[in-house]
Amino acid sequence: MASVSVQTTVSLDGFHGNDLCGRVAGVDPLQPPEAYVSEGDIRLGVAALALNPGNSGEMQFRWKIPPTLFDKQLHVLYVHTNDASAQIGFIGDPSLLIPSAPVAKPVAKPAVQPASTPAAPQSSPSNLQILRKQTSTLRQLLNGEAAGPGRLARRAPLDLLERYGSRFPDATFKRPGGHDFIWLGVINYNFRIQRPQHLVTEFADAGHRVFYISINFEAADDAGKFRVEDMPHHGVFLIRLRVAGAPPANIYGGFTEAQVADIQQSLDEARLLLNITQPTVVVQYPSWYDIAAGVPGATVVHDCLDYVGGFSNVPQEMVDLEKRLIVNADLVVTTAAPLAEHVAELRSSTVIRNAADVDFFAAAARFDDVRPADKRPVVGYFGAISDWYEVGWIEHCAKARPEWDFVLIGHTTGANVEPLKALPNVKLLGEQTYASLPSYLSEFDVACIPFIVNDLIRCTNPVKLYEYMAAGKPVVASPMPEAVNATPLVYIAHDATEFESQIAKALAEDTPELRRERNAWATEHTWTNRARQFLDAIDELSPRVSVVVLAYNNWEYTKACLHSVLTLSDYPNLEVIVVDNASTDDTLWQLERVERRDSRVRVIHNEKNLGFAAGNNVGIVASTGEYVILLNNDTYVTRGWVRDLIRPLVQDESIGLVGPLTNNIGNEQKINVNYADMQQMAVVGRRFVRRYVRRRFFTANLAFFCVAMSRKTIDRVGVLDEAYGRGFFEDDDYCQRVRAAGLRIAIADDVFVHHHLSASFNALGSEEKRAQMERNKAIYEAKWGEWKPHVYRDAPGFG
Amino acid sequence: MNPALSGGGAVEFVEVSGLFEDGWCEPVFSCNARATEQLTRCQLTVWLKPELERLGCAVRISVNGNDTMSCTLPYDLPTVVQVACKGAAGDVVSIQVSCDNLVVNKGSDLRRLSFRLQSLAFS
Repeated sequence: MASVSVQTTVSLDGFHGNDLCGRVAGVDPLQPPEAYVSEGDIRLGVAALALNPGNSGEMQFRWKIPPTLFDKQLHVLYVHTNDASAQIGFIGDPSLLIPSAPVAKPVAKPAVQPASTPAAPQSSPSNLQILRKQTSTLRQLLNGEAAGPGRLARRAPLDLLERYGSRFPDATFKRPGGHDFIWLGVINYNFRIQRPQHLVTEFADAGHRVFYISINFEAADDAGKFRVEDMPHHGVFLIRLRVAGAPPANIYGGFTEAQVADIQQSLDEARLLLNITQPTVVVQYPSWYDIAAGVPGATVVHDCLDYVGGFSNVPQEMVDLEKRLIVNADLVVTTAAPLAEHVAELRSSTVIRNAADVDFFAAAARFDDVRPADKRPVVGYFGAISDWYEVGWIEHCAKARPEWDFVLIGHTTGANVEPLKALPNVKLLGEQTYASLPSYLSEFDVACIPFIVNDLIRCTNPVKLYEYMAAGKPVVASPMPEAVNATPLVYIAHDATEFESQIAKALAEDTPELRRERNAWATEHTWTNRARQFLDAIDELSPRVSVVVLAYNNWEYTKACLHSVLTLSDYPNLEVIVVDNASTDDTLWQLERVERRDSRVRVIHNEKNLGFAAGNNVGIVASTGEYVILLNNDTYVTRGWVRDLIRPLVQDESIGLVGPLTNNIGNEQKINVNYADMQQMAVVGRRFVRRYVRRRFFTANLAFFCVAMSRKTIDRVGVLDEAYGRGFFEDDDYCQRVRAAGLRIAIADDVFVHHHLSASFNALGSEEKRAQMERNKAIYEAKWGEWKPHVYRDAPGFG
Repeated sequence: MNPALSGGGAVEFVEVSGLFEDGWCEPVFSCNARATEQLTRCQLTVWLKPELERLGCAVRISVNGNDTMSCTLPYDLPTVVQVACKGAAGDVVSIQVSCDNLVVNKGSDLRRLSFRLQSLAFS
């Protein structure tokens, strides 16, 4: 008997109580299909089918949701028949199961059978498959990234609050228009209030989210790789990374290679679960360098607080690491002009000085008070007292002026303060809370900054200068450049004797007018202003980038490519120009739909197929970006690829072209990786490239399936040579021209882009393809001499 | 009756805010509904327009003023969220859905849109 092929369709009606309901249409009632439900690749069960009495070609199905799916987590469910599927998301509250199942502890899922249907072909992922892969990635991370291809680990779901902390839901909320900051600081948030805390609270008040990463780590277990520990200020979240392997105690000793990999994985989980997008990573201590550089697509800012080499307890390795950080960061901020001069040996920086919470310290101001004649003058100081503190100056003055009292607040680690302890008019109060500082400051008649002007101090911009001035206090300071040049209102002392005389002068000259003048100076130096400077500088770090995608038929490829570009680029200033090379299928119609939906997309339609070079040239000419990326439509990009790919061009003007690593090409860009789908690709690709953050491999040729160039390169070299017609060898030709123009060609070893290879050319017959290659090879050799075949890179993991 | 609110005959909607006629919602949608029978659950079907560079976005659902559910929803996938919502016939229950997504609109549509509520039903 001849069988009749019937095309079925599946539609979902939704949930009725605990049942997922829907219909399968186009069924043969004599041979009803099997309908089963899966989550990702995991088969959950078979749906009950019944004929629809009102429609003989349709069957209704019901499937009871197992209690294990009521766990407050997203489950993407698929209903499959032989040749069709449909999907829906489901999130259920466990308390709905009362009394039939426990609420507090979700039940472990039963063992499930893998789906018997083969995996969808990698070459043509549909929108549905892509979404499925994305959500599966989320699930995979929730379940532990250790799961390898085909071995998706299934663990009992844990409640997100239990797993990531009670502040986790707050931390997932991103305010519209706000940036995400990952703060890799030099101190913990709850340590002494300094520049880091002031800046992050200002950022949060400006509508941004700040994830302040603890400088301490703890060991990871099944319950997640990070924890949202607290929200000390609205929009500021304290994150403790939980690290597999042997976590370091803190950041100060640096990290081993294995620890870097473990910390990166913890941060990956945090980024995904907290929906951190287009992150700006601020680094304040060099040991964070590899971690920061490993965040895909992140803007890395080095907030250079001090001259690290000036600290007696910082090892040389950290000083060397800071050099790498300075060279490779997207922006270096320095706190003082001399520090900027020091950094300038390696690169330019933006000076954003320290400041004061003026309103907070102005509470200590006594602008109009007159010191009673019987009150002893108080010379005060707050802040760290260490080996760079002029203890001798205090000792000299205290002995010379027994009628003055000296009040010193702050820990004294590293300083020898023994000579001061015996002096009756010197009080060492130790560390005091930030909240109490204004009340101490209000009692000071003169505030001082007696530092030894060594390399460290020469590069220091003292926060306390702004805080003292906010309270209207006269300030006597060592001749550190940032105090000397700040304002003539500061009294400068070069030695102990002058320190004494300047204090006396300050006491004698002090008037209500001077106090107000000092306060007025301080009001120009608020943390709010500094944060604005910081944000303005960051906004300038995203030059416009145009991605040019040339499309000819093969809509499934183009759709997947565009989906990846539009969802994974993680770049704020993006233009996507799709040039349709006179497709004969519905590609143009589909592209116009995408264009209507996304303001970043612009579609250009060519009346005839211009070939690869001329087709791309149409896009290049139409592009407005400072950087242009040519991207084949048979590619699938990875998160953060845009910024990481253009970075070599931005940082080094001698580079004219940059390409990524890939799975499928015949040159030094190819790495040896295997994956079954785009979900695995993301994991496998990331695992490979994160070992090579910021590494550039210089080469002679790039394949133009994905290539970035600056506008300067285009202006200098021109567009692709259209003599190559439909394609082949135009990329080798362009590389020759770039090198002839004196520019270098680099592979960004920290970017991976999937390449299917020759999607359009495979449509040609092999004979036609061979003839096209021969013809273009002759054109190339006529211009440049004998063509040399490309080779794979001779290194582990490549080729 | 807004089509999004037509499902589930177990309540009468008393007050609704943040919902447009076409089912689109502002970042905060809320409603008060009087139960016409015993209620145990509330079921929402939510859809997020696929245009942001994110895997998903955070949604928080409060029932009678208590945060009942905080979850991350994917883009471009109708997702059903079921939360417990207990009430006797005659009780007024309140639901609030807040979402951190904001749609970038084109043309003359100046509404501040966040997500699309495809259905809201009680049982």
